[in-house]
Amino acid sequence: MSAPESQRVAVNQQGHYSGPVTRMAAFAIDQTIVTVVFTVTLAIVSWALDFVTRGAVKLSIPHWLLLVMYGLWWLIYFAYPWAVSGKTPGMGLLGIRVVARDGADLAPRYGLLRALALPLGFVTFGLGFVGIVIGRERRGLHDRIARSAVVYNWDARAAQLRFLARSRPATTEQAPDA
Amino acid sequence: MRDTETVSDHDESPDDEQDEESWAVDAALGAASILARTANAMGSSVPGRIAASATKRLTRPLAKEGHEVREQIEEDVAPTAKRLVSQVAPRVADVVDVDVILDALDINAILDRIDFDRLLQRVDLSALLEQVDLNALLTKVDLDALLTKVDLGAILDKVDVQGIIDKVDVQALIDRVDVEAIIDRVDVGAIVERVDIDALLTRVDVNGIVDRMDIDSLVQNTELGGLIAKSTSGVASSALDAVRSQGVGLDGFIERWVNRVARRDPSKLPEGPPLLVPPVPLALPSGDPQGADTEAGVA
Repeated sequence: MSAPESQRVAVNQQGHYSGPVTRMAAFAIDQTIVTVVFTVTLAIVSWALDFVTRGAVKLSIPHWLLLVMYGLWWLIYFAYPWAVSGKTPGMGLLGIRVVARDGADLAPRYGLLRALALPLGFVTFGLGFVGIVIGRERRGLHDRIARSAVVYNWDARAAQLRFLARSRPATTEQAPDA
Repeated sequence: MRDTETVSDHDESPDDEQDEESWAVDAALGAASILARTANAMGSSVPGRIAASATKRLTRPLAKEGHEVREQIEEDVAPTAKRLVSQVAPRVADVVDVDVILDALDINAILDRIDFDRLLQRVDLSALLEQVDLNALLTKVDLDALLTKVDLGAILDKVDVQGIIDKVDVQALIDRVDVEAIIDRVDVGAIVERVDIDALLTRVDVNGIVDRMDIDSLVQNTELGGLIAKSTSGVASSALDAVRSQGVGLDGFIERWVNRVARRDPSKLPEGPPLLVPPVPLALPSGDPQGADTEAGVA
């Protein structure tokens, strides 16, 4: 799909249910951020502890505790943005947003519930995400539990105008010189 | 004593102061008067009617002679009277001061007694206006001076304007008016100064006008596009726009394939949450109850 055509499609899709590609890309970005931040934080703490104690104390965390800490961080990372603004950093980059099923802002408790229910899609070996691909409202299992939906939220119209401005004929700018 | 004698002489001998012709006329008039009194006294009695018939029969030759004399007099006097009037009338007009007469008249009282509505109803205004060269008339009239002297309100209160309008062929009137010449005489600047632009703009649907504009063409072909490009020339925003657009395009591609495999009609699928994308009402075929049932079943 060429750039102008995709821009026009994006304009027409404004406010519509978001599809699986955009949502998957947004989740991938968020998952990367969560993991990188957690790993870097652990490394910084380990280095700081080693630096302060001059190597006397080594940070040794059991795997189960690491898993719990990662899970808590993961939950906070997703639940807080969804409860406050309806979009994580990855969703913001891709221009999508979580809303209530009717299109209103998502209530904070449903933001938390959605974050708690999201892992069910993985637990069910991906079956919880099938609804995003084939469902009439593109809603996964966690969306149904949290009574939510995901829609395109970026200013596609402004993006289209920017694209048109960049691709305008050179003669328009060079006319005064001529 | 002298006056008493004079009066007494006059009563006893009038024939001494009159000439022969005057005496004859008076005698004739006296006889006619006595005859008239006598006939009146006799009334409608049989002797009276016999006497009147006999008198009429006896005086017929006299009446015939008198009739011929009267006709002769009319023929001789009429031209003389016309000549007399034509000679006298100008001198009379010179003598009469019209201004004095008009000053004596109360024009307002006369106008108050006129029923303008009734007068105008009897006038064929269209026929009258067809004979008038309005353009020539308008160029000669000092409209400002005229309007300052006229109490338009009082006149309009008396006139049935709607009745006049109904009788006038306005289109024909407009066709005959040189609008360009009138506009040339109008101070458009003064009129514009009296216009409340703000009130005018509040009645304009600016959003409707903007909706009718081809913004894409405007941005792509004017300096406005240059301004936008300069203000949003970041590489990151360009890349982000491209990634988002491609993502939307791929989502649509997958959706079309899924709908094709699932044999679903995309037009019947909800496009978004009802608060963000209001559902389009289904167009039901008119007069087809069976079709309506089908649509209801789908919904």
